[in-house]
Amino acid sequence: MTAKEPRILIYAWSPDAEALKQVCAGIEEEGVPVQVLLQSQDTLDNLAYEAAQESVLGSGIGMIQKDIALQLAGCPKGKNVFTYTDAAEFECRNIGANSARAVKRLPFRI
Amino acid sequence: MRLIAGVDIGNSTTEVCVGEAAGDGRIRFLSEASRRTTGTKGTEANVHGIKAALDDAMSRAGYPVSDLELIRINEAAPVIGDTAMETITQTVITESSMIGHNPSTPAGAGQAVGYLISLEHLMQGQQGTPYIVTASAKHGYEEVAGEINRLQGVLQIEGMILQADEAVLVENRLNKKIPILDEVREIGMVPEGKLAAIEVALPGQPVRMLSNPYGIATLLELTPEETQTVIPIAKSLIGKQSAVVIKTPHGNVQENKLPAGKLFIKSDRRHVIDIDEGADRIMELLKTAGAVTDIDGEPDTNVGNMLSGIKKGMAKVSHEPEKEIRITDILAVDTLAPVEVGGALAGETCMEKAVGIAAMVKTQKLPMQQIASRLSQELGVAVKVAGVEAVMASLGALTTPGTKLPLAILDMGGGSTDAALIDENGSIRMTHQAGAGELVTMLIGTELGLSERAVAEQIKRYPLAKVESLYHIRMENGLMRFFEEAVDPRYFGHVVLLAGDEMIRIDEGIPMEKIAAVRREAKRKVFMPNAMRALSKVAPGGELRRIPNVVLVGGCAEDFEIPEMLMESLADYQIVCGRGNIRKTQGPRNAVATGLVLSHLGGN
Repeated sequence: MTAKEPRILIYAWSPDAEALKQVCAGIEEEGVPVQVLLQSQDTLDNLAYEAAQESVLGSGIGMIQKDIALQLAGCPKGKNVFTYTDAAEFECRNIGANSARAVKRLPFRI
Repeated sequence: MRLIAGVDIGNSTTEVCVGEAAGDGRIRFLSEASRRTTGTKGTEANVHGIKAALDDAMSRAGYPVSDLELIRINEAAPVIGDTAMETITQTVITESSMIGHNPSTPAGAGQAVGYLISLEHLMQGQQGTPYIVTASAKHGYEEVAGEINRLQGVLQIEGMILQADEAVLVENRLNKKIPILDEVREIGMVPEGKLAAIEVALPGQPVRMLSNPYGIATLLELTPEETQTVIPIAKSLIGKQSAVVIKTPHGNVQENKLPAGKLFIKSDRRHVIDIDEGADRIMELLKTAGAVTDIDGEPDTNVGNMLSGIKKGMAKVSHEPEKEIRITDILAVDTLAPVEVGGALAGETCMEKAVGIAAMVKTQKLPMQQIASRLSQELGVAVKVAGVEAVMASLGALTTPGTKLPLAILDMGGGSTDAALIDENGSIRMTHQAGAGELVTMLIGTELGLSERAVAEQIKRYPLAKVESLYHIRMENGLMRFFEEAVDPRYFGHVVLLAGDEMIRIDEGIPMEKIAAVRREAKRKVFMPNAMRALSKVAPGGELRRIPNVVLVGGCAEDFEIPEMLMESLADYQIVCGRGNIRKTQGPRNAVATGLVLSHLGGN
């Protein structure tokens, strides 16, 4: 497992390919490493929570098709920082950027 | 039971104090209230605010306003203040255009020179010509990177300007690394076919070449004359993460210089000083000039326009003809103001030397009697104009525990800084100086380039903090504060103001340290000289050391750092100085209103 390297983790269950690509692009533009791990069936809240808990950077994204949630380590399960259902392209890009901006302690893009 | 109200009408706030005159000749204080002054101090428009404040205070005391036996209003000092700011140098419009900004993620540090060409027209590019390619947001990063990679071997592509926030994404996909600027919203304003230089700074550093006139000259091969004209451009790009300078050789060269001008101070004779000499010299001259009868500026100059603007404004509010308005005191402070640079494509500014002035106008005796009759008419309560403001303030200040006569008060309000000294015999000396809280607000606003005055006002009032995570903030003094519940993500990473339990977000993207430094400096620049000026005017023989103690009152005495600044500097003169605590409960507020109620006893 490479999860202990400093990365943002994306825990995804059957994600939409284009949405996932946009999320990753948002993170890449901010220059933070990211790793996508495909998961078995679970809830969005659980995926995001587990991803944040496992990420050394404390920033994780949960994804089911086009539903996406950003979670940070230390936040209670279910209290996602951002949640989008059926996210549009710019929302995918923003949530990716924001997962990285959380790590960099920069204001979120809203 | 006899209820008496004291009403103090200030430049910014109207304060009320309600007391009960008991049979034994003592006063029992019941309540107080404070409201924003409606209209200019000393005009009938004040009545509205007075009534609101009286309502407030009486309902707190548990009585209707009609139960009042007497309302005592202050004989307000016949001075009104105003502030103005003007740059001393007018920026030259240059023959180049530029964009400078701080995108969070540009890519490929370095600089490049080439002719601007859009991605659509790149196919028509000439071999052997260096190009800087612009791409609007409708081209995705994969498409842009693909195009550049395909043509890079054929054409000479030196750098890129992107509209979208995709510089890193594009760079990661390029075979040959070039500097890339992104988040240039006004990409449509970048003219094709012109020679341009772009620069992306190394991480953690600002741009070096384009913030230096010789750097621009080197990259764009400018003559010494042309180099002269790019100085404002270079200045405005200082501290930026990335920048573009475009050579537009057929642009209009206009030199539009308005002279800064001279200041005329009239006392027993006329003193002249060039505003260029700076605030310190002006204040020095003012000190030696004696009793000032009027202050004026050279017509058709910056300072002339500024002072005549103040006089026009004053004439309007005081209903006196403009030529009757006399400025009897000013406080000049050096400051910096943002000036829009000619040729800026995105409203970039550069900081120019400026002077901020607070002016004070002596008006005819204010029509307090009119306010009193109108108030009496509307409320059906007797109203009396009683007592000089400074005397009342001193009386009120004496209710601060630990004070005795002789006593000096320093009243720091919105428009003016006033001082009064009362000795054991009750004889009093007083003075009014131009410049107080309003000038501080103006200085903060201009030096930080804030578009809204309200934001500057809040910055003046509240300490800063940075939201470092969803669960904690770091305050400007370095301490951390933790929250049980996550804060709204909109605050994350932002600088905020701590207004009690509420957080106010500052959206300007200015670092916390800079805001704090500008705020402190603005307060120091206004209140240090003014406290010294005012106190030495009332001090016996003009010697500060002969004042034993000073009580700070007025709105700005409530500030979280101004009193401490003054205490530190007055300690050098062995003066006991501190924030007043009127009636042991009110802090530095309500001194005049309290004095008015107290003086009712003395009057009887």
